Amino acid sequence: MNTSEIEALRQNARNFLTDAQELCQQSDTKLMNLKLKIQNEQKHRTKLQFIITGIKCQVEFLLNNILVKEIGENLIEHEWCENVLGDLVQEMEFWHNAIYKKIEHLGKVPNVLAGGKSFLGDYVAQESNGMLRDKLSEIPVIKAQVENIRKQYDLMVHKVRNQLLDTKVRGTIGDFNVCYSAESKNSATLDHAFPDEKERMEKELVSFLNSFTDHFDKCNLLCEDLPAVDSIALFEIVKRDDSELASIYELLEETASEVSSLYDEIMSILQEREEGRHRLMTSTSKLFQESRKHEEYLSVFKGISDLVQRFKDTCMEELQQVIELNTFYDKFEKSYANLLNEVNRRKQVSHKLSKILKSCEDALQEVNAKDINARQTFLSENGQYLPETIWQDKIDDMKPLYSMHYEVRDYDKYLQE
Amino acid sequence: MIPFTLTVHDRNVSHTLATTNTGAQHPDHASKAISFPTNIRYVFEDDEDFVAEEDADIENILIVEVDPNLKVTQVELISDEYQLLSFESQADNELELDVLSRFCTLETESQDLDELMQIYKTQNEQLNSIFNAL
Repeated sequence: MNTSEIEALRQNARNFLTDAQELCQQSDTKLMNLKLKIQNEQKHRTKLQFIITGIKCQVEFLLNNILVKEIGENLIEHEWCENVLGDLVQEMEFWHNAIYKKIEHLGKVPNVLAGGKSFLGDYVAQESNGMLRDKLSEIPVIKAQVENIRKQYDLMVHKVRNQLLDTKVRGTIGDFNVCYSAESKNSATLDHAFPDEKERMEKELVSFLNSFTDHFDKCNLLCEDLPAVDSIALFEIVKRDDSELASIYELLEETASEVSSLYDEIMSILQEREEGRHRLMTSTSKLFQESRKHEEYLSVFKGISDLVQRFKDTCMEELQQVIELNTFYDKFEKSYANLLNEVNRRKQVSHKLSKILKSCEDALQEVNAKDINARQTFLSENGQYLPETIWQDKIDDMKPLYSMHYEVRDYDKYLQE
Repeated sequence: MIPFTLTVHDRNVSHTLATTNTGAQHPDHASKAISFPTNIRYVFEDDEDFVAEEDADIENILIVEVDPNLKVTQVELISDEYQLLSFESQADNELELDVLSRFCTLETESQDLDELMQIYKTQNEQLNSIFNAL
């Protein structure tokens, strides 16, 4: 055991340690790299799954909530067909008929106050007859539009259900499941085999590195001043270990090559996944475009919905006017009947007044006749004795003491029996 | 370090839907749309012991990058349930997140076509923004 021998051992140990360090470093970097790549891959998978599930929900929302429930059931069937084209049209026809008949009826009722030359119908606005008629004439157009939109609706439901949801969306979900299936060999490798293998390899690398470091430390120790007995024992151990360095290094190289092949295996799986992911991204992107396109299609339904709503609003407005007009004409006819009663009442009052005046006139005439008689008696007894100038022009005045002028308006010309 | 005050807004449209007949918002929704997570475990980059606890019942992982002044520069959310839409950090130690929870089947009763189309559009935009970030 001499210094040069020890130095040679130490140099050998240093060489192996440096090589081992480099090899371990490389392997470790590879393992760390894989771990990061797998984590990244998992992140992408989670996001992609979130998006694909989201698109499925969106398409179901489009199909079930918007198309089938709102547009199909609520708008087309309930609002447009039942409410507008059914009930509203029926009501409009009813009131259109009612007002038509009413006007027709009024047209046949003569206004007796005008001597039967005119009719009650002449006093109402004839255009009210046409109000609902114009709206009713628009119904076939609306009906055709609703039928047309129903065809578009059926087509869109079919497209969204069969082509989009059942084919494209489910296809994409299927592709996703194939690509990321938990049962697949790739998933087993990435999710289970890799963490175990990585841990095992890391432990092996650490233990190899420890052996080389340990041996190098022992060589260093030999260079220091040790008690002779210890020194000889240590030298024997170091010499024995030195002879094993090459074979241990071979084992390390084996592990390093295992790391390399694991690296290659995982990288090729990740490559496969990446390609799968790109395919999924492409089909997802197409699904998006289609989702967006449906936003535009929906605005067609929105347009018809607004149109029908506007039509409905104006119909309701006119309907309301016609209903009010109908009531008005009813009241008009009733009031006309009351007017005739009123004329009769005034006629009676006029008769009553005439009667009172007649009897008053009779009474006055009676008093007047007596008065004239009395004056004549007075004149025959006293006239010849009284000079005329004593009461100029008055003594033999035979004019009645009263005069009576009156007028009772004649209602007899109206409503002759 | 002073803990962050975390405010999370869930922008899922389901929270804006009034599903009850009375037209009032379901009490669940008001509370679910905004939340203030409190059960937070902080893990720092050079924490060695974290790996050992990896299997603990962690629901969501938030990776927050800060500059030397503790100003938030980047946020990443790792979660099965939520996706991050955007984040905002106005004041120190305050972090507001706009997230989107997993889409679910929506119950719509009183909404008209306009509102339904708006929901559809909003959800398309939300998904699109996550997709573009991919």
